[in-house]
Amino acid sequence: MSTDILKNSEHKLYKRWTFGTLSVMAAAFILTAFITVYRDPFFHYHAPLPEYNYPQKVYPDNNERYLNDGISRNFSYDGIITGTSMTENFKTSEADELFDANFIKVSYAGAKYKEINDNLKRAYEEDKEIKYIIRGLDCNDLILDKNALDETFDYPTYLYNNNPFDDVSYVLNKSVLFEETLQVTKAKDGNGSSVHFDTYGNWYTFYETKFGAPYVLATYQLRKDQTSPISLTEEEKQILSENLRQNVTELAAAHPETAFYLFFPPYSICYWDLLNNTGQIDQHIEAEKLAIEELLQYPNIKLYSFYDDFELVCNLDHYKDYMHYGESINSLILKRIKKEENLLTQDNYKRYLKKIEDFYHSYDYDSLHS
Amino acid sequence: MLFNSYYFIFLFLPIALTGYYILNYVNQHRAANVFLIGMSLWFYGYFNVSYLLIICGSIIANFLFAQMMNHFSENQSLKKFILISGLCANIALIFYFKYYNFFLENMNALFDQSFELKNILLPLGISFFTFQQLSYLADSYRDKTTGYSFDEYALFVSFFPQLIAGPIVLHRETIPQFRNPENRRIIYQNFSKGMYIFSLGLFKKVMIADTFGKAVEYGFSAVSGLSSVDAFLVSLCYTFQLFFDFSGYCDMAIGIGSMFNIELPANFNSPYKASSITEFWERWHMSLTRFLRTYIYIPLGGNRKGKIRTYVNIMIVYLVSGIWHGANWTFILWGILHGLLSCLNRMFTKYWSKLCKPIGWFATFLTVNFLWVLFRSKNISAAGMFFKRLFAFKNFKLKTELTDCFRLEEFIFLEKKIPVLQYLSTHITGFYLWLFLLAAFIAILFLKNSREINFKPTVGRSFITILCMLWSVLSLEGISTFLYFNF
Repeated sequence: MSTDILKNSEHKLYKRWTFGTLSVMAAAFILTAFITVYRDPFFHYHAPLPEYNYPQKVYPDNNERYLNDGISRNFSYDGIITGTSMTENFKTSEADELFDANFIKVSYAGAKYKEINDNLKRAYEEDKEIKYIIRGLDCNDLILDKNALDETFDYPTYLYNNNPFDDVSYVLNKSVLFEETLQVTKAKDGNGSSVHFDTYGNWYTFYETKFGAPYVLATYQLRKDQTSPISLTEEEKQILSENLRQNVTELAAAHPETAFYLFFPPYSICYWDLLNNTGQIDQHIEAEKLAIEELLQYPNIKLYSFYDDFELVCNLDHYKDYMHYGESINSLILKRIKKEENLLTQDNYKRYLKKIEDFYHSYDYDSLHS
Repeated sequence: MLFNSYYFIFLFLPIALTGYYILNYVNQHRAANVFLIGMSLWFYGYFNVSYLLIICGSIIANFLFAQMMNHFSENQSLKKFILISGLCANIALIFYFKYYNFFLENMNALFDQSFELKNILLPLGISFFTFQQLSYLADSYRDKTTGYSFDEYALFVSFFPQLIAGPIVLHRETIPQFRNPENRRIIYQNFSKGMYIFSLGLFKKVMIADTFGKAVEYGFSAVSGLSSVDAFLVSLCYTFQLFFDFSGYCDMAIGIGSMFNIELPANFNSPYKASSITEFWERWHMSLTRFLRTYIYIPLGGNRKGKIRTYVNIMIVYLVSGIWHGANWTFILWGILHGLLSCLNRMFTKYWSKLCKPIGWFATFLTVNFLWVLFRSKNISAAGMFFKRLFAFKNFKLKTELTDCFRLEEFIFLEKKIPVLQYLSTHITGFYLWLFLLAAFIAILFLKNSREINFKPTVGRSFITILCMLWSVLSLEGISTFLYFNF
């Protein structure tokens, strides 16, 4: 009998331990998750709280793929700047002034068209009234499968869906907790700060001293045997059309209330040097032509190209590698977009294409390496 | 699915436990078995649904082989034929998935041929569940498996805690436990102990093994730039990573088993305390050693057929162990070297046992440590390159890339709050690396292992359970996969 009593009390002791431990553990998990949900450093649940200062992340630790979705869905704005690293140096303060609007910047370094477009769609899903979208369309991604994604980033998919259960990767995540949530500080006067879009994603300061011809020329190598010229194939034309339709024009057609300012980022003359070396100049220009013709069909799309600004493209002081230009060029692009300079229209686009075709075919590329 | 995933901890395990105990509570024991088999298949199929065909096919086929042997128990020669067919079928399965390409590569190299390699995806844990079933067939031949129903057999093979990385359990260990009606209700002594061991295992895997793993990943990917000290430390890191990874995983398996009132066999008994290679193998991956001893060494004659046969048998066992670990010459060489050292140990056991224990331990630890380099390297020449760096004795500087692997986010955060920590971290090169190594040495030499723990429901144990769980779960995102999955 006494053994039974002893067993019973022991059983109760272990039972109490089990439930006690499970309860405290659950409380610890809930509390930890709650801190991140409340402060929400990636703005996944709500806009920044005015009583907090959110950490300012600068390149290369800007975590844009973690923040962009929250910014697009939960910030108040009426203009979006987006694109790849070619758009990261834009200053929204300049765009705000030029367009008398309130811009956010949600660039995705290395992104293909789909990733950028999906982010814009997420913004529209939140019923945002978007007046302007300034978007860089990288020409080297025109002939890419419509669903192509950059695979080099470890993507936080849990932030990009509406499944609340996989948010556990966000709210119970040590890196988020220590590097983000606990870095959010209380603002003294209840007048906190969140993302500074002029510096957000901006890599110019990081590379400022590494601009100019010697750096640019060191970023690529030419083939020894120059390839004979190639043209755009029918299959590639199909790929390009589908890529543009799914990832650019469908959205523009669905949102006539928004003005889409699209531009081809002006890669340097060295990009053309590479095209020349691989025989792809004609292919590039044909792809551009096709893209222009597709895009100009939409009245709310304004398309810009700067490849005919030869002074800009050929001055390697503006570049850090054969593609990337410094922030002064971003400022210039904004101004020209506003002034509608370098705007492609049904009337001028053929002249533009002829002009760049003549120039890039006749350019003395050897002079770059002498 | 991995034990160290949010999905497993917050969804799968609670569902599995709740469903199992509810069905048992309403006395549906058979339905509980079927439920647990279903859960185990979900667990397994989560990696890749097509794997389910292989495991289900393997379970059904082996059960039929065993049934046939039981059916024809009077006819010895027919029984033997069925046994051999069953063994061949299992070995053919494992050969195809694991060794086919390796075999072809070697044929191509040896005979200058160009047989086309196949794109074969290795089903997880195939070595574990195949070995488990081989033992079942061998026991069926000896009439030791009569009376098991199909669901009991399927549960014995597929029971998810031990499914993909062991321990390699025997039918006589688990099936009677599932049959015991006492085990069909929650026994809080077992449940609480299970929680405790699971959280310790998770901590070993996520916090210790994976942190060492980052340094190992870096070290083995940048061998040519390593100094001698770097290389030695990387080899030590791998020695610790492998142990904490595998034993942490097994602790989690044992912990989950305990929550289901199923006691799984221990797989590790503080192996790095061993002071000879033979002792090391008595303590390391014990369920594999037991399998090899019972089903290979002893049937070959063990030590009963003279000295030379004994040594040959030992070498065969270690060779099989090497091959079992992977389709690569590195594993085979690693197995052969361990075999040779075991033979030497046996030959000179009189002298070795007279050595003072710390020297024996040191020599054993260092040997095991260096042989793990072979285990980790992509191929033998890469291992040679690693040893070249290690024994160059040229450069004694520590690489910051290596030491930075140990500077975790929480330490950086704490440094801002605790100035002493910041002082130590900035003034002692590789402070956290040394801290991890020291902690690892203390853990392997002085702490009780999971089978030695005498669990008592104290506040302290509760605190440790909660801390290990919280810290580890918070560290799950972006954590590497288990090392032992492809074996």
